[in-house]
Amino acid sequence: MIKFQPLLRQYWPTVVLFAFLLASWQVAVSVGGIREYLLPSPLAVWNALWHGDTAWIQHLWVTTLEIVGAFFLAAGVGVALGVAIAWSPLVANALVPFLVFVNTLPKVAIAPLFLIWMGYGIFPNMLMGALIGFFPVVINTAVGLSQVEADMLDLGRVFNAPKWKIFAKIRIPNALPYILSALKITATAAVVGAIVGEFVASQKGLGYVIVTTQSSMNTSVAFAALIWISVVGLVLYGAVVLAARLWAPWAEGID
Amino acid sequence: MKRTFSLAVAAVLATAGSASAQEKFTFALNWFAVGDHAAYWVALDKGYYKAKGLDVTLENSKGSGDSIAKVDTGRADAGLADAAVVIASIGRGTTVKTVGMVFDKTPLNIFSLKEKPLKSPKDLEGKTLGAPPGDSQRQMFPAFAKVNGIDPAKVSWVNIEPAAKIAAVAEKRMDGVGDYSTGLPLYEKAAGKGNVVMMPWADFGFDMYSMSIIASAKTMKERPAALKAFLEASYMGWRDVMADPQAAMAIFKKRVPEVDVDVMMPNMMIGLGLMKTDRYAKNGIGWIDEKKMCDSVELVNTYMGLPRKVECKAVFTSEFLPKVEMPK
Repeated sequence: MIKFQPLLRQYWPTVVLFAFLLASWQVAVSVGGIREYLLPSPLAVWNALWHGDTAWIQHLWVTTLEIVGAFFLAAGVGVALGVAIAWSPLVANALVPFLVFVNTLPKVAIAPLFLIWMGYGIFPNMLMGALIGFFPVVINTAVGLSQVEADMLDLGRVFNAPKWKIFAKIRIPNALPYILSALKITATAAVVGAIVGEFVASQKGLGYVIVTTQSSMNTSVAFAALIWISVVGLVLYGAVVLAARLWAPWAEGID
Repeated sequence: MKRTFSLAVAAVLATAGSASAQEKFTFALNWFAVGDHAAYWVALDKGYYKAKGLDVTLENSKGSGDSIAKVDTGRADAGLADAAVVIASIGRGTTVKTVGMVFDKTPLNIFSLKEKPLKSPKDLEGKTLGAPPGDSQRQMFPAFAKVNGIDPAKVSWVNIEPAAKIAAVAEKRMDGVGDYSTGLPLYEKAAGKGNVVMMPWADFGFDMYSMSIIASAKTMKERPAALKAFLEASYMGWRDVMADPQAAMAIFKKRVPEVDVDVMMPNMMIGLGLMKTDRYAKNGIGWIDEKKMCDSVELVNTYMGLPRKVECKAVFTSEFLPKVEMPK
């Protein structure tokens, strides 16, 4: 059951902050006489969201698919690699430097190459988002699997548990809060990656909307697209927070 | 002691004097270095700006939208931008105006590969074309379609990053790309000489202004003399480019070492071809033809879905244009 009192207590400061920012924005535009193409008023953005002729559903669908796909791809690959690294020191020595190298490559620079290798569309953008988002998962998974209390491992040894059982019963539950914490980063990274991919080449999607409307100085629609993007990101982030509460309720955290 | 002091004062005054005689002037180019930027580097190198008391800085931008924004917000005093984007921006609230022309004939064009050539407008139906955001081909396509009787809905457009557009068509990721005809050497470099097919819009009944020089309302009002001087020196640079393209390219390469001369030279020559017109020969380089300007404005008004109609008079002014003769 949703308890309203604690929810209200937790969220009212941020609601006030948002309301204040929105009000200042509207005042700045109306009083400051800022030109529409530089900074549209909140009202103009609202109109672009609901009364414009942009096919929002279509673009939202494409981008959301890319983001969610990127997220699960990053999570799956990231956890798998993290397990491999924690399981075998040999694999760790081989993989970790390579993964660090891949992670430091600026994805914006790789994106045009993706276009040449894979063309444009939903899958390449999913891949881009996964590429940006997988690394925190790998590291956190490996750390979570290795940094177990010595007492717990001793307990396993006392019962003559085989390596895989120690992994399954002790290490993985220990790693869950770490993994879920990394997934919060992955949620935002998946959004960035999908949009970067769309900036480079796309026919549909919220990134496509931003880039085409920005260049024709239709800034209010670009802002509206930004709002949709943050909504998707927030929903995904919220889903991870919820998952954390369900599957690792013992771990405290900022969410 | 007193002598060195007075000498020092004299030296300081002398340098201060010459510094104040040079007015700072920032010119926002529309892109990274391309052939049609050579003229301004030539004017800078040969001291034309300096002789008129201008200390000019040439700045790169990321497209016409960027250079227009720079000029309109005062980060640059004048700039280079595509006319269609300029007109549309005026419809969205900018206060810039076109003060001189660059290309007299339209460079709008579509590139494709020889194996699947797009030679005439009819070939476009059912195909996929790529264009960077803000691209003039993309924005004016409905007009081109109407003039040639094809259905614009049957042509799909994909947004591509400018850095990726040449690779996109060379690697057959799309059927064609919208880009100025001056870009031919760059496409040939990627796809191979003789492999690139062009569809110049000028050959298919489409006439519209494209690359032009713009200035902000502020520059026009507060620094008219500086603007006039800048335009005159710049068109003198163009005159020199037309008279001796090889020397101009050498200066360009000296000032902008990243320039690939093998590709920029033909690029520049194609651009010159768009400027050696009777109109310019008669009226001076950069002359703005009112009828062609107003027709261009009408095209933008009709096809670009602006929030308000743009008046032709609001878009340009010839009051700062010098008359620089085209070399014979």
